[in-house]
Amino acid sequence: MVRSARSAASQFSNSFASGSPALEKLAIDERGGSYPVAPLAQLAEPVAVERHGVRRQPDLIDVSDHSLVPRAARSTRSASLSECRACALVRGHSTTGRSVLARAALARTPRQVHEQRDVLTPQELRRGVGARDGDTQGTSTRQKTGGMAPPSIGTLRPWASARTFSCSYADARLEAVQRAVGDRYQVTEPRGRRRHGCGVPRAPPHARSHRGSEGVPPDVAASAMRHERSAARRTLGASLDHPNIVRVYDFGHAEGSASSS
Amino acid sequence: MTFVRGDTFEERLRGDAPVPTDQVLRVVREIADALGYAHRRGIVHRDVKPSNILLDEDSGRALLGRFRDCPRGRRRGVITHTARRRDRHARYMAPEQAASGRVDGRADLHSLAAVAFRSAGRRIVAVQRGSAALGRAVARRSARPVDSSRHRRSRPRWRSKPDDRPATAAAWLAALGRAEVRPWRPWAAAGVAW
Repeated sequence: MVRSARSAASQFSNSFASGSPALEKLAIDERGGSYPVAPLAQLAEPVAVERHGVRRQPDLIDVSDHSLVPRAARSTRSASLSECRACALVRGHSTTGRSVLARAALARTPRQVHEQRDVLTPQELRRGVGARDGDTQGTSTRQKTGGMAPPSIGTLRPWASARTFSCSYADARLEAVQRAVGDRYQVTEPRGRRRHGCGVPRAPPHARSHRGSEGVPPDVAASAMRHERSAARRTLGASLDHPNIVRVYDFGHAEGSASSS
Repeated sequence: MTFVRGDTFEERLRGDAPVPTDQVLRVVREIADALGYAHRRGIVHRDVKPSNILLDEDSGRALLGRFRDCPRGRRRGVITHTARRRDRHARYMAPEQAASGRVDGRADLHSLAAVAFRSAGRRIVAVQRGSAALGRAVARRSARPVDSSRHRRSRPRWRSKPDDRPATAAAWLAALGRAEVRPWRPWAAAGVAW
């Protein structure tokens, strides 16, 4: 095992000096030639917490502290490892891969994993890896989109089901949702009905995960009773932190209309 | 708010394929756990129904959404806006809530039991239209909850009085676990409510 690691390190350094083969190719060969380098479940301990008797996010994996290259090579070429990580995960799409891994690296503590659990799902990880590991989802994505890159941040991802939970309103429009949400979120697509949609927060940039938004139109927000009711509902939603409760992250007012996201 | 990708439990129940029993029990358990968490914080949902239960496709969890604004003992339990508009939503309402009395966590447990009852494939008697008749119809449900002629012998009686129900969600779940020990009967999941 030690000899293997040393040989891998020397091979890695030599290959890096000569410029070929690629770092991610070497990393893949070192882990046995499989692609991805290792099963995702072995990259790190599954981040799961037992809380309220419910095991939450058993398959969400924190890959931030685990490189896909041999450990011995990590010390010598630490400056190049981020590139190698991105390339190994999303071959040919390093920029997108970096963004994917940047979102994955956010999850560090179980609480953050819970709060950002919609940042990077296992399906997205597999889709980013591609079709070589026999992932049918990645294959279909590649066939449909012509590439394996996950959709860039800021655009709606092509969900297979293209359905979200139904809201109690009709004909949502993007402008109305964006106007209700204000400039705090970039609404990517209206969802559900009326003033519901999903989008990504503009700031901070590292927290650009998809979240649902619900806007309250100005006429409804002008009603004192409804305003009080919606404010109380948002406060309740924000105060409850449970894996089986839809959580409200923030809410605010913009141009006379209120919104919760 | 949390972006949930998937269907509501209402859509799942209205689908062509019947919902498996283990999935129904799992959803009921998770929602009961969420309700217990909210009740411990002094919050009553007041509107537990299948359309407010979201099924996340990614994690497989059931999420409870759209909390109404009723801290315990602060407001009188009134019929919600959706219940006024659509009487079919009132079928999950506890009798004391329909009668505009004070509600606590036991009203939510009653609604959850009604959800489980309907998930098991049983129909809940339709209530009449109109808010005045609504309360009477829901209260009358305590004596005749099931509109099914095929299962007269298994027709249970709802426990209309809150004191007759389990006080907490944990006790509700415990009663549900005891009901599961016996061979499965369609109304066993909701058997703790009557």
